[in-house]
Amino acid sequence: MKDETILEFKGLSKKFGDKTVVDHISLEIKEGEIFGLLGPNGAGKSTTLNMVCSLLKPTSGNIEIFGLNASDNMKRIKNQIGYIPQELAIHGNLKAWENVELFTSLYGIKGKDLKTAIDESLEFVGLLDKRKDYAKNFSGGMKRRLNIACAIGHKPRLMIFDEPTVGIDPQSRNFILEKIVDANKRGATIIYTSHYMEEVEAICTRIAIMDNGRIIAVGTRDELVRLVTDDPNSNISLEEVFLTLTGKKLRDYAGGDYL
Amino acid sequence: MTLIKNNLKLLLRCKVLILIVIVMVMVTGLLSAVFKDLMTDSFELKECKVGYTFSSECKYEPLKSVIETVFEDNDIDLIYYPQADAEKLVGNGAADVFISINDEGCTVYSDKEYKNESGLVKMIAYSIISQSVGVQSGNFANEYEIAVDPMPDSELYYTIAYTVYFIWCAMIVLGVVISSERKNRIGLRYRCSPASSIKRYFGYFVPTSTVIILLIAVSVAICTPLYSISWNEPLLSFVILLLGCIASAAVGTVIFSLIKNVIVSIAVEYCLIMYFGFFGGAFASYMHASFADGLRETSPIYYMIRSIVELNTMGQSDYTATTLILLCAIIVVCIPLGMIAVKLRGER
Repeated sequence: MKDETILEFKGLSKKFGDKTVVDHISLEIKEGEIFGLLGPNGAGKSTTLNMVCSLLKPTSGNIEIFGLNASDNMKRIKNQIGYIPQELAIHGNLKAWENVELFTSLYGIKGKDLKTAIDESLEFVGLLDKRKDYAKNFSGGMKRRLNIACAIGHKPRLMIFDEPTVGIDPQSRNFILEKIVDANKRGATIIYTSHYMEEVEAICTRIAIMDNGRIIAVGTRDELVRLVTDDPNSNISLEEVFLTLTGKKLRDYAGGDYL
Repeated sequence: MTLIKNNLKLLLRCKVLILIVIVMVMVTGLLSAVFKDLMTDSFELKECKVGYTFSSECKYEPLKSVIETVFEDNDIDLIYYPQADAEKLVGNGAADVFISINDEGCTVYSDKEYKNESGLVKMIAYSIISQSVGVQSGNFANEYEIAVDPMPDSELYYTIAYTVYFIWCAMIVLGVVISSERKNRIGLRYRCSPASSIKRYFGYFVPTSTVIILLIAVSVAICTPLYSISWNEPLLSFVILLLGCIASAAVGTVIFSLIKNVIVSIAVEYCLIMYFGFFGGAFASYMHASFADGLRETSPIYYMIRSIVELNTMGQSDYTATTLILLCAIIVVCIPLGMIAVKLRGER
């Protein structure tokens, strides 16, 4: 992990009508981190990420990405962000390689570079041998992997994974988690949101817990544990930390997805 | 280019396109057969017996030989009746059309069945009378033919009409890409990317135009030999059809981009196309239209059908320039509108 700040929120807020969804949050994410954003549904995680990707405009506050003010430099910033949405965003009637080609080309990559990027992205998610298959014929796990491949062809410095393992089998889930760590080792900074505590515990170097639009705690797993107990040998889980800090169980919000 | 290419692939992989071509060819055949009698009754000239007479001391009586010659040159045999009761002659079938010439002009009597023929006879008679001054001064051109505009047969008319109509209907093919994007939340990816709205606009417009052109080309290639269509002015006709395809895609892109719901977009397009088609001569031919000229002139389909029909029957059309200008204007207006609509949609 480097010392350079790759993403910084300063007093960031978002209101929809009278409802405050993100409430004055401030946060710094360093280059090379795998940063976990943890919180129940409606905590404001996706809204925060949507503001990072300029899908939503903040009501107030400021976002700096790669040292640039987001509102003034969005085109430059977008070129270096890979957003993996929670929902599958792929064309079923296009082949795997065509999907990757389409979405990678949106970042201005052409010719040989584009071909290389397609092969590398598909190889990264283990779908190179399925490159000529239609996406509609893929299993749920394969579609999730293709969903990732479509967002990484332009080699982003910052990858944002918005609950990428929802509704898939454990094997595919483990594969995706391994690949996230792999991408981080190759130099990408990762922001990862999930309902699954053990995923966040397993891969994230730092974690922020969000509730009701606010960040209520930030730190490494051990730092978060120390917020609720002074016992250095404590086996307390992240879920218990969450419960103690928010007074709520995460699984109450996660519906049937929480495993 | 990659966006255009992949959206084109999405469109070409849609099996509905094959259905559209089949429907286009079948509807053309069906309507040309259904309206064949109507078109034939209106435009075919039957052989008929034409009688004529002059009123007593008619000033045009010296033109008798000229009149007979001119009618003969136009393949119409006249029977002269020195004194005749026109209504009686037509009533008992001695003459199918009868023309009574007097100092004020002429009166034409005919059976209902010979409406077209009586019109032609009247036209010839008036043309001769209008030149009577020239005859009296010895300048009358003895040999001249009356120009009667050739009329299209039902196959030609409905092949043209339905080719034009389906060009406009085909704008709905963009719905394939738009609905795939909405169903699969592809908009998220576009909005996260630095791709401009202009790039996205051409990602819709170019593939849609290309597919409409392909559909029409295939349909024309099938209909031409199938219905024995002869394109007398193929170049101009195809230029009009090509511009029509581009204009249709431009209009379709604006509508799909402005309206959020795909089904509502298709419904709006359907209403627009029905209006254009109804007043433009896609159902009943524009020659038989019973509504005001002002209404049909609001339809680009009318201009397209009329100019292509006239080009391929008369060899020229006064509507060609208007049609080309109108289609170019639609394209020029709709392209920037579409870009704005795509940008607005992205922001929404």
